[in-house]
Amino acid sequence: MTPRFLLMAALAGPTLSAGESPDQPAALLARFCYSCHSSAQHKGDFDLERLGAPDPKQASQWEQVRMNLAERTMPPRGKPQPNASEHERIIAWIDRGLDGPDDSDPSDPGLVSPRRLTRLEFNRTIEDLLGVAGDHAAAFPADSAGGSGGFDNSADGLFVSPVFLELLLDVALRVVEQAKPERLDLVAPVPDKSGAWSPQARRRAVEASLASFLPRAWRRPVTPAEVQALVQIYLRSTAQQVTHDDAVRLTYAAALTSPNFIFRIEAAKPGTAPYPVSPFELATRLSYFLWSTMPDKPLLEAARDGSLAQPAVLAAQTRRMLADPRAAIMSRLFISQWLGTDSLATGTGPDAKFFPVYTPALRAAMIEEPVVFLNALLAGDRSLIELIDCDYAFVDPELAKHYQFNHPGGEGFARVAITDGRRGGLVTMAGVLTVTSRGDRTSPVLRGKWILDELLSAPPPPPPPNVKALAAPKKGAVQETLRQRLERHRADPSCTACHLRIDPLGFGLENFDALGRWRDSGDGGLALDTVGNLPSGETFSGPKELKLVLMQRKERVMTTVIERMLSYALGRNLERCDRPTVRRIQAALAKDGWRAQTLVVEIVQSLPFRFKRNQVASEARARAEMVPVKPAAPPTAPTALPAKPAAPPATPPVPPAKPSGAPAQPVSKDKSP
Amino acid sequence: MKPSWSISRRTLLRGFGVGMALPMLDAMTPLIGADPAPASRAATFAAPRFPVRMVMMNLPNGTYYQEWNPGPAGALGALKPMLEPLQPHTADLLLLTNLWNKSATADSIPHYANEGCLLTGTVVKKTEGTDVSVNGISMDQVAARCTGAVTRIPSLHLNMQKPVGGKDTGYARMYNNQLSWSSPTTPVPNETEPRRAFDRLFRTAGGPAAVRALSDRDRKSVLDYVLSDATALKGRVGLGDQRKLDEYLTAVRDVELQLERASAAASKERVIDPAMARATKEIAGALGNAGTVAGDSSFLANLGRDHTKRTRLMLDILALALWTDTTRVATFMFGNDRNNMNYSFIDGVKEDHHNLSHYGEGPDKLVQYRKICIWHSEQVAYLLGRMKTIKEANGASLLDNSMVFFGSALHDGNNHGKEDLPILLAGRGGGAIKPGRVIVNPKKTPLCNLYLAMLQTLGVQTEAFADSTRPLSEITTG
Repeated sequence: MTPRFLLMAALAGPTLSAGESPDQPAALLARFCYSCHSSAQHKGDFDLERLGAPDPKQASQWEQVRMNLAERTMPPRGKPQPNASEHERIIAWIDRGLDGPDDSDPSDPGLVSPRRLTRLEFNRTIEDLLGVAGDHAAAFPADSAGGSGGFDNSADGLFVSPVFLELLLDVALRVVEQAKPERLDLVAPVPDKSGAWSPQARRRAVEASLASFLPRAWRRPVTPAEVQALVQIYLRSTAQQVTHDDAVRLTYAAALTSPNFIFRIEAAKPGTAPYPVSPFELATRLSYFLWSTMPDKPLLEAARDGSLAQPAVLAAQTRRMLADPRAAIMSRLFISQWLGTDSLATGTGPDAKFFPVYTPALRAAMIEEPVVFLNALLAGDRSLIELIDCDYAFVDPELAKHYQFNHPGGEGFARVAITDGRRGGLVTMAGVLTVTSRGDRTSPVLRGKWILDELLSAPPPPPPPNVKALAAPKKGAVQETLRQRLERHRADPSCTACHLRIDPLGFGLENFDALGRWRDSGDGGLALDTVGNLPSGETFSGPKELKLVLMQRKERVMTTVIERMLSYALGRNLERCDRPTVRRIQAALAKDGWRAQTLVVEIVQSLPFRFKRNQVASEARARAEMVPVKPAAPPTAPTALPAKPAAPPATPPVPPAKPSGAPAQPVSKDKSP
Repeated sequence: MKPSWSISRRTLLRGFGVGMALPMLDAMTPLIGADPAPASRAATFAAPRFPVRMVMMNLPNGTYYQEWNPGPAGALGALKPMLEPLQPHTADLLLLTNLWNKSATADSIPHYANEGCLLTGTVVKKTEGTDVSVNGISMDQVAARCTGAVTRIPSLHLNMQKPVGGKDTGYARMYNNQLSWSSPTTPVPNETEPRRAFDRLFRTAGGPAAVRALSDRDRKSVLDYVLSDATALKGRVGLGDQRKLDEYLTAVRDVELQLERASAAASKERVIDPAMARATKEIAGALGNAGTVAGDSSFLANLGRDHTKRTRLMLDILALALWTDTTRVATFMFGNDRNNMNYSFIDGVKEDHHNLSHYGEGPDKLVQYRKICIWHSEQVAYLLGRMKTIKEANGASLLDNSMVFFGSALHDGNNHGKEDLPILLAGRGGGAIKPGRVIVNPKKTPLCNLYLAMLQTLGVQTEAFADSTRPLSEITTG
């Protein structure tokens, strides 16, 4: 932070004190915004005066202020507007207040709780550990299906309930019984002279078996005391006339019921400074990120000899694991959950009753297309920009028919060239287009919101309280079009600001019906309306031009990709402390032609992936703290979204007086003075 | 009988040849008297002479209130269209007006702030995920801490929809995945598959059993081990991580308690009610026919026309669990609030529930929304009908001995109002409740007043719940 801005931040108190220059950003904000958003007025329940100066503690509110300013949705039309230079200064002031300098190094790896294995991770781990394939975890209650990041590996969405634990013990015993004996590292007792197994020999055999098995099962070296604790189960059991084999199985089942198995536990080191996780913990992080299962032998070897801590070895292991077929699970889980296409398998989407073509095979292909696409990007180490637009697509015979392409033949997915710009890139994929439709019709609002949320990380705030729902079509001689109805809805000033951003993007996709098929006329035979007019002044029509609009914001889209994959890799929502990490990865990717493998390698090399820190007492208190039953503060504003890691400007550091460049801004390029 | 409940049930099953388990029941002689609740379970409990059961059911996404509105106080007459399927049960219904959950109004954003605290009566922490908290425990868990001490499982939690993840409007979506919270930060998971719910309750723990069933002693041995293991681990991890291990430790202790209770219960002589055995067998048979679709995601079966059938199967399982005194407390969700599930399994409905609940957009939406609301009432009517046909040892029906709550966290689907929630209570709570009436409360009467009265009817000796001001004793005084 430059001295000038430090000074400014220090000066800008909760209220504008007399004697401050009216040109300073705080004064500008007061001049243009307080007429509605002061403590006296606080329209939309938004009190800027009380908010004071940009402060990381109030990040979520300030992000909303920034976004509304940046997109010129505020101040509303008809009110005095800041000129371009004033506009820039306010935004730069907010950025700096929240962000610190652009070139700051990542210093806080953030917090992540011990993650319970997801049901899928449990199954894959049991298969790799014991050689027993199957949906063992089906018996467990369904996982909360994703924490805040929207990924189901998120630590905060994975709970341990009594039901889970009750079933875990049974499932553990069952899989141990089914295990291939060699996977259990069983050591046979040494017979005595008479050929019998003495109790001592049996015990030593169990100890030796566990000493070999536990490090694999618990993904780390174990202590003799830990082995002995388990041996006690064996001894207690055999004392009850249980056979040696049964007692051993019970002991192994206990090892798999232990928190050491079902949680990914990471040991704490004293102090408040961040510290690197151990090589074994790093191996586990890497393995569950890329494979959703336990580390394999070479990875454990690199952990054991400590070489995994070397960046070059870590990168080499990452690339080795990416090349392994097991890495396909990462593409699948990551992109299906990011795009939301996984929900087609769990209840959203149209009904085949109205769309007979929507067969299970087509649905499966819709879910599969982005997975195949991302796999190809990773396998070929291609540019991630192709997520926005590219001149090819992968289709199987079902999708080829759906898209009216010629399938090159064969069973599975094959690459086809796109020449007309109608397909190619995520927004044109049938799965995305279907998941953003209503049951039997398209919704420009849902699609526009999807683009803002999932590609531009610029989610519109929730609708204001008690918003009037879209009114019924006006009765009249001529049927009102959807656009006309939406425009009528937007005439309500409380709706305008957001819908001006949302709707145009969605209209750009109106050439695709509710199943993502190409069409040239609209629902009910109405003429198709595919024109989008953005608040920035840009006008476009159809998907090809929409993709150009997105390409104008490709840095922003890339920021979203980085943020989402980092969130998936870390198993937590991103926080403001992650912004320097995201910026750094973005810079490395830009330098490297946005290559897909580079993204994965950079994430693995990043501070939050390799380090952790302890939760400090105040944070623990804050978590445990209960909000009083009667809310102390007035209801929060509709714009008050909790901390969202809104993307930092991706461009290199800029001098304080100039705000970040247009490419990083969402849906607006109207930035030049 | 062998001491382990899992073994004993399985052993008994063989006699039926259908892999069906026997309800654990003393021929409806409730296991009460000496309160086996351990000291840690705070609230005192003086159970009524015959066990009273409680079911909490949600109506997601509000209703079309103007066609729910029960009208003036007094005897319950003709029901409005949204409730019309319940007409045969008016003698068993209480319709309550002007109840509200004040905590739900702390944030103007609808759905998550409402449904998340429907049963807790506390303000849901506005967060997208890392520090989810409802700041209280749900009333069913307050009940379960008492009644759960005498039943095989403390409480049962069912949902016809899978959990969803991610975030929305500033909240973690998981707030809406369940009604029940055993601690401010611990949601109680739902069973969403009829087959698995049945297996867990009446067969062996899900899926094919281990070759050698675990004895109680084995279980105890393993539980003791993991308890000390987790305790030791706590010393090695950071402050924040200890919370997660505490969650694990709580679960271990709960399972240990359950085990103790099950052994205590198993040591008693059991008499098997043939009607119960028959009902159990019938459900087992129905599951065989209408089970999950092999190979396909089990949820996809929900999309089919048979969602109604599946819902009723789940309701049958619920009724059986109550009848057999497997549990006395249950939550049942028709789906998550703000759910986007396509309800096209109902004739004339083409879109998803939440979207249609904003019927202001057009008459075509309202037509569909009404159908969805009415469908929910039909399913409640089905459950009530089922519970009425079950006669219990005290001469009353299962419904007479129960309290079935059905209500929404939203006044109306379109505009989300949070006052005057649509709420009904069915059953006589073992004779304590006087149904067949409309109770018109003063405006903004705390919903928790109703909960308090229900808890007291169950025998939970408590004077307050969340923001209650007094028990809603009007339900008992006709």
